[in-house]
Amino acid sequence: MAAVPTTMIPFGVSRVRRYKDRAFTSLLWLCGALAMLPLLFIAGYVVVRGVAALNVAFFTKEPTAPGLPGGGIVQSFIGSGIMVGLAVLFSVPLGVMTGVYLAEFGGRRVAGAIRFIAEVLLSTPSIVAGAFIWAVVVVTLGSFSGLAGALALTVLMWPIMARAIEEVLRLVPDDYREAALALGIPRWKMILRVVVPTAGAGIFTAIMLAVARGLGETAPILLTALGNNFINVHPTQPMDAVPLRIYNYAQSPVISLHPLAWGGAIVLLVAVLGLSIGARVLANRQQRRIR
Amino acid sequence: MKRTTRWAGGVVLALTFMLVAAACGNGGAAGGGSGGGSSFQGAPLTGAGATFPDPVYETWFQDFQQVEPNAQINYQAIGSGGGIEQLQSKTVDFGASDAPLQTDDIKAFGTEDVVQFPTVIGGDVFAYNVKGVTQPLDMDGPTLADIFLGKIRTWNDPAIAKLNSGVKLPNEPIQICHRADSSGTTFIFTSWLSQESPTWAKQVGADKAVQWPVGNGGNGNDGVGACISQTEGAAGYVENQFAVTTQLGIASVKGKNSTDFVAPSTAAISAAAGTLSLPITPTTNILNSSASGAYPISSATYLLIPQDLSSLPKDNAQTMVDFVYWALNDGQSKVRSLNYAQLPENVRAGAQSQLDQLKFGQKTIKPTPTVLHA
Amino acid sequence: MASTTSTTQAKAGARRARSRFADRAFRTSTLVISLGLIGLLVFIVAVFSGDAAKIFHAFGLDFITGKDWNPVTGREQFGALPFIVGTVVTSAFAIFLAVPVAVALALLLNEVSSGWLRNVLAVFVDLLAAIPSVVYGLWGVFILLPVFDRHVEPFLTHTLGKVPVIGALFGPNVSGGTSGGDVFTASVILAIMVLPIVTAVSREVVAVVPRDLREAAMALGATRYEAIRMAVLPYARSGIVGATMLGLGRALGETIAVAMVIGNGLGIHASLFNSGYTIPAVIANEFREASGTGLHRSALLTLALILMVIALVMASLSRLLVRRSRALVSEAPPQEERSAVAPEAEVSG
Repeated sequence: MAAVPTTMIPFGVSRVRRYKDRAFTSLLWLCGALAMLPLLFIAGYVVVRGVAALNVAFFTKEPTAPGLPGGGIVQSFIGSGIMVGLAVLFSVPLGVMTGVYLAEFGGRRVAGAIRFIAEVLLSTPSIVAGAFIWAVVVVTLGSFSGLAGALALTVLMWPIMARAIEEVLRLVPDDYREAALALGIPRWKMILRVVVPTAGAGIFTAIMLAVARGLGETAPILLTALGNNFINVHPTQPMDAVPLRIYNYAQSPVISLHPLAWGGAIVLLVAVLGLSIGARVLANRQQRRIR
Repeated sequence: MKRTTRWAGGVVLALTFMLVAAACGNGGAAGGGSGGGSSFQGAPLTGAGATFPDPVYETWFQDFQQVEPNAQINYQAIGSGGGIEQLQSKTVDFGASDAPLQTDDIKAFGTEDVVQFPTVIGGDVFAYNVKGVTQPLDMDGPTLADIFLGKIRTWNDPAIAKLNSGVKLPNEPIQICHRADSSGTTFIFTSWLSQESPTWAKQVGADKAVQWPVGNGGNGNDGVGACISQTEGAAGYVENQFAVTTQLGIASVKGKNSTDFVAPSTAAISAAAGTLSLPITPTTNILNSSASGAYPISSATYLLIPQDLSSLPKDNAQTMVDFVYWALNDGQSKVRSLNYAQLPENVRAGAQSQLDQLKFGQKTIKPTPTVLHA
Repeated sequence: MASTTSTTQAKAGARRARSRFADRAFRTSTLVISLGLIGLLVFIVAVFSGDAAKIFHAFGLDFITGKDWNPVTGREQFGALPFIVGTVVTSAFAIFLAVPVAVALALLLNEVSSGWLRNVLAVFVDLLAAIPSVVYGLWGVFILLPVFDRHVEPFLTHTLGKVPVIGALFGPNVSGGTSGGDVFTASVILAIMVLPIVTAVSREVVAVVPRDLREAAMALGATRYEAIRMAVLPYARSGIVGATMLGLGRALGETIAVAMVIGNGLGIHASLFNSGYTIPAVIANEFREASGTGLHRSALLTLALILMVIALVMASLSRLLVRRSRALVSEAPPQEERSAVAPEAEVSG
């Protein structure tokens, strides 16, 4: 949208009106400056306090007994990796299938309903997903587990993927589809072998964004995976996660645990911001290519 | 696929390999499996419950790994109520609680019997963070009840000043910190307040979670400790060790059976433990002990172990028995340095004999030689 | 010749039939999985409804209006009013803080700035959505809370606290001193967390206002401020309300950051400088210990259901309003367009 150029304030505008205009513009710029501050402050503090905690032990050792120095949170990194990895494994096929349906097959009404439900699920508080999976998976399996945590994350990631992948598939020009059909390729093959691969980078972007979201979730993990002070790679047993560990340590009065919380926070922030920015860059490139 | 995507995919794969390598590396160090050598290597266990004994338990779990390297006992301190609840839902292998199981708890377990093993003795202290007050304040039951009822609102209130003549108390509001979660520490403290103040007993009562008239909630003993240490003029109740490590002010308390104000030293807490007896019943407590020099708000804390361990793999059940045996023997020598008190010998021996009640199938589980001779 | 043609034709026919079958199978499987999404929502509501029925049977509407939340067995009393009030107040105040800034940003980005500055600003705001909730909480507990407790809140009490009527909101803490967490700090953090999404939707809504309207205003001699006021805002108004609803929905469901700074106190007070409690926070704090035999766990699951219903209502309202705003502005009939939620504008909880 073209901005309204200042030079076009017409001759003969009263002083009052000009002042009002300038005051308004200044107010807008003030809000702009205000909006820059939170990111700077948060990222700044996390980096300053977190960098001090980063050492080799932080990434390779398990926590020591309370009060003893040293130790790290390696089990949280591994647990987060496994749970988010599993969640991606579950939600990508689900998201692709749903996205394909909405973009390629959807009739007005059914697709509209599904889209609406996806948005409702998108806005669902993550604690609700945690409570739901607790009731359905944890109680049935008889144990807190990394699998339950992964399933809770899937509940959150599936709608995100579905909507994002639908958008990306829509961006693939119809010419591709028509060319494939004209060559006699059956529809299902056309979708799977032509449309989806063309949207490949976009789907990858959607995965990156969903992963960024999943890595940062605490509430669903709190109710489903319990946490673990030891490395655990079995999804059927309780698992730890970085945000969960930060949450616990942040509320502890044991001073030696606070740097570990900041350390976890800086790793998390770098990962999440890196994925978000990376997704943005990839999306821009993808858009330029298709145009 | 485009070059960037392939490159990014490569990074993801590399990271995955690193994570798996770290996991295998660490997992290997702990022992690739039990029964490899002649000594029992142990197996992982999951437990949840009280924050009150958490400093001791965490130290114990670390030390026990020297004895049985594969015994990774993952304990999550979510509060006594949480421990009991999760054990009832069978989502953990054992629980831990400072409050003995009440009648409804036992009913909720149904046909499952749960054996309660006392492990250590600790004390609930009144901890505070008041500028300028460095020495221990003297407090008694009625005053503390009034503070937590919100009737006494400032530090220089006459009731507090009367007990602490000679201490300069600031004209600062008292910011109360209590537990937001279901807690055995709360059970102990509110039970004691109910004994000391009829108003408290009627208005609030005693339980693992109550309707606090005033104050902010924190999660776990750590949360309350953090709440107190981060707020000027704050006070609350925490287990002794949490107040010590957070360097909070700790009050000396005079209970209704005390002759004087008693500080929560290990000696004073030990003195209170004399009246503890087995088996543990819903009314078991060592509050307001009339023993000389006893700290009035002392309490034992219990491991809750299902009597029938058949649902666990055999190695895990064996590890459970081994750990409890070890905790009741070698473990006891470590608790003093953490500001807890050991179990009195008669209680310790009684708890150890309770191990015979734990069954795998129909058979008793004997502690392994590793642990018997450790 | 004829036989070869008919075999080829037969083979072609068989191939067509196979691919028609494959097409239909593929289409059906995508449909089934997509319907699974609806099934998931229904499943979630069903799982919670059993407990909700139990609670409403036991307490009726007192569950929503009652002030006492007492899980003590024998005195069991579950009135969720403190949580409902806490949730509403924190979210409302957060929206109150965030929406003006968001609209200002939307106007700034669309009408005023250009080029690289606009991109930098846009990225800065959008990235706020990516920061995990627990990091907000950590920052809030150790950085924001002390500053607010010691400086900002006393200052506000001395200034705004003296103003009649709204002064009650900024009155001193009930205990007289500072608090280990309060509604005001939670609201400020929430405001930062919902800023990106309200800004993103407002930007979209402002961007579709046609150029002609602005140019007409300018042709009539309006200043930029007047052009925006006359030509842009009226048309964007319902869309901005939709953006607000979306932000409100997010704020209502935010769990971890709020739980870490709100103090977890059960009282209902006028002043924002007291501790409070929200529905997601109480579920997070009490869920693992809630007894399944009494009504405690059912009470928490009922709260979860209430939260879901609110999310549903907010999502629908915002969708409706944003779509109506678009239809109002562009002459074309409303079509199925992009979700009002840019996929990256998510806040984790």
